[in-house]
Amino acid sequence: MNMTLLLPWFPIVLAVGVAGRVLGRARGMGMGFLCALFWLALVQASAGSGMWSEPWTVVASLSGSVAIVAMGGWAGQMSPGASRGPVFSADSYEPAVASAPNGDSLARFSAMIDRFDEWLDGHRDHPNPWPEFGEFIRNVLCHSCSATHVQPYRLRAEGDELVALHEPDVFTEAERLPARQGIVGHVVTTGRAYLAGDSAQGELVQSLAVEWKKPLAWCFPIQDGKQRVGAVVVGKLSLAPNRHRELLHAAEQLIGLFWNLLSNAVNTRSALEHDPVSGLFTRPMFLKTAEQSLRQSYRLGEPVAVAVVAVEGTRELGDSGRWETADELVSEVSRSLRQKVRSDDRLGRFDGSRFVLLLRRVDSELASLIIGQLMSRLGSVCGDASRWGVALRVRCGVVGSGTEQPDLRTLVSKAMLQCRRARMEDIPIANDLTPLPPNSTRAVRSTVASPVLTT
Amino acid sequence: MKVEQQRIGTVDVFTPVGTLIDQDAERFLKTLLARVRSTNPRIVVDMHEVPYMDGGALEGLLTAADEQAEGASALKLAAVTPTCREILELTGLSSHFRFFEDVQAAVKSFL
Repeated sequence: MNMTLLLPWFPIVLAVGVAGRVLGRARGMGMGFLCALFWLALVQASAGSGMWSEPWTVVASLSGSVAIVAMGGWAGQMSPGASRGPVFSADSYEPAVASAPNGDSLARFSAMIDRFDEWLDGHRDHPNPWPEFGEFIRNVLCHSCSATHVQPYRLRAEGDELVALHEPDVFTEAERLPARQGIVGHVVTTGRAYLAGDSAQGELVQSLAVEWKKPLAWCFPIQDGKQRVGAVVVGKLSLAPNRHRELLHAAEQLIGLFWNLLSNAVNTRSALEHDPVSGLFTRPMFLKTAEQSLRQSYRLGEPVAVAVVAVEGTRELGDSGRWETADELVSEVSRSLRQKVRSDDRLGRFDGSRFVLLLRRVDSELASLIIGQLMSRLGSVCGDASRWGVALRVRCGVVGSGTEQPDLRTLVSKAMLQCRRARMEDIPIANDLTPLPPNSTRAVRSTVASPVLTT
Repeated sequence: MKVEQQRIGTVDVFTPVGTLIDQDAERFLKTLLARVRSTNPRIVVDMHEVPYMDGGALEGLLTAADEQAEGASALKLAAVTPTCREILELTGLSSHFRFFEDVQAAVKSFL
């Protein structure tokens, strides 16, 4: 009798398990119920109706039937793709199969968050992490949503163009899109994602998508609060949009969250590195970046000059309680300085009234000529006594690296000494060149003797 | 540092080779100024072999350009390297010179 019960039970319960995985929980249980009835009929046919007179047989039959139904439900709960593991392991990405969001999808997204945390830790101090973040987005969308041909764009400050996330501000046609036109413009303007094949979208959206000449399967905006900051365009998506809308929506939310977290990290670092009033590097950051530039220049055999610019009179502004005016002055001086330096020169605010510049590929004499130009500009900024209410003077000390190649701190110290000398001799610029005799070096004289900035 | 000198028609082309600094710059400028102060100077300085110049060289070129200007002419610089061009721009002295892509264009400008 035992064998009569057990022999058909095993294949049936296995079949229900497999069917349950395919059909889902509810249908799996239904299938289990039908199979349980079939098993009971099978048992009765082989054992005869007398089997119901034995209590233990009744108990075994009922238990077996319940087990078959339970198997259908359990297998259905595990489907589909439930046993395929998370999207990411700790060290590498693992291909995932698309599915509707369920407990496993949550685990997958949780793994994505862990992965992002790890990525952010590795890129927090990177000067420009955005290009690599673009690559990260591609990987995430590829492995979580089977999306390929992914291109993330950031919205330019002017708001009229979307550009790729890479460093040099030169973009190919494929890396720039109009931010107010076409289907991508619609997504950015309205803040609503586009998904090809999603029947819920209106005719206007469909017609815009048809007009779009490039491959487009999915496009979603990136928002910081209510403000649009970018968009992600996906060319190809191997998921049925109607079945996986919630999964894709969750991915959109996560990418947006990652974007904003990175943006906050970059802004926080920038705030720590830059003086809030002038927007220039703080002293520690100047010393750090200038040290790197100096080393590079020495390696290339380039001459380097360091200039210290002091604005005399700012303390008087501060002491008289006109702090806003003092801030405005610092802001304008720093703007003038920024306009004159090249991209690989270094500029920082050294303390309250002093700024420091590292000029590459110039010797002391050339640096003095350049600074002479700068002083003329600063003269027009600081020379208006009626605006600032105090007499301001701008002085500068310039030193060159020469053949000795001194370290940065030595150069800065020497430039400060020259700046002090300029104040003592009451001249705008003092440098480390031999004092010039009258009527020589016209160029230097003409700039060093630039208009006195007394007000 | 060596200075190559050639004559194309009535135009003298000076080609300094190497960095234009210190004594090298002085020697070159002495030669250049001698030609500037001679009769009917038509001069092109081919700068494509000058990766860098110092303040002394810049001042010498400026002197030559000013003396040329006094004779209603201009000192023409051809194929100026980016660093030298940058120096001229930053010091605000580029307006004293005329710039050409290459020697041929500079020589043609005298026609």
